[in-house]
Amino acid sequence: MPDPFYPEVDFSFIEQHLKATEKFEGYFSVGQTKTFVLKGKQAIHKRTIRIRELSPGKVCYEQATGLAARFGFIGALLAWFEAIKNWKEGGYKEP
Amino acid sequence: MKTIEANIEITREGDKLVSISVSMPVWSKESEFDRNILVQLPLLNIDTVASDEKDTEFAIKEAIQSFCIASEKFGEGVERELQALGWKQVDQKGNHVLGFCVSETDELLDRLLQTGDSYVNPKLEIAEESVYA
Repeated sequence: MPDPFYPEVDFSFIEQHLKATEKFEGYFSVGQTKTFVLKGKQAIHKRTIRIRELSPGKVCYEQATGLAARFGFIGALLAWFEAIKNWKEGGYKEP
Repeated sequence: MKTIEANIEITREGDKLVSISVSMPVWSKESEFDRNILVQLPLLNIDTVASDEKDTEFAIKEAIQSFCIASEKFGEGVERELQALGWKQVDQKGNHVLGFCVSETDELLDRLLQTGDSYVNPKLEIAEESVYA
């Protein structure tokens, strides 16, 4: 049975993986919204990504997996879920 | 004939963007994964997330402020970045007013836009960003 509560991810983990891509020109935050701007000449709406921390330092499952898919760190994210959240294949592991 | 479905009026002091007045449709729905609310501002090509109904307002505000700051600091300025999204100058008297217009031949788009909630903020301040990295 999959657990209905999907785990959150530490913002620092996501940030570290995004920065490691070296694809970004800059970063800033407004309130709980962090914006990362990709390098390039395209219109700004095509090269900004936003992360909103719903609780301090945390990124929700949906945003985290979306970013991991787009920036190629799904493997690392799944490993993080298992190591830190004890969560694997859609559910929390029995202790 | 065209209908203006959204508009943004830009206020600058010299070159510096200080505030905007905004009215545009937004959509929100509950996430399938948790109880968060997914918020979409398609006229700005933005989606964001809020923790509950009350937080939605803050999420929208932050998203629009972020778009403006990114446009000014990393892009070609709010006016040109809005034009890249299909907004048009609808100015009267030289004011910086941009609108998202739908022609009456595009009835379907017009009907779709009517299904959104309306986000209106007559004075959204664009503060200095807090740089964290």
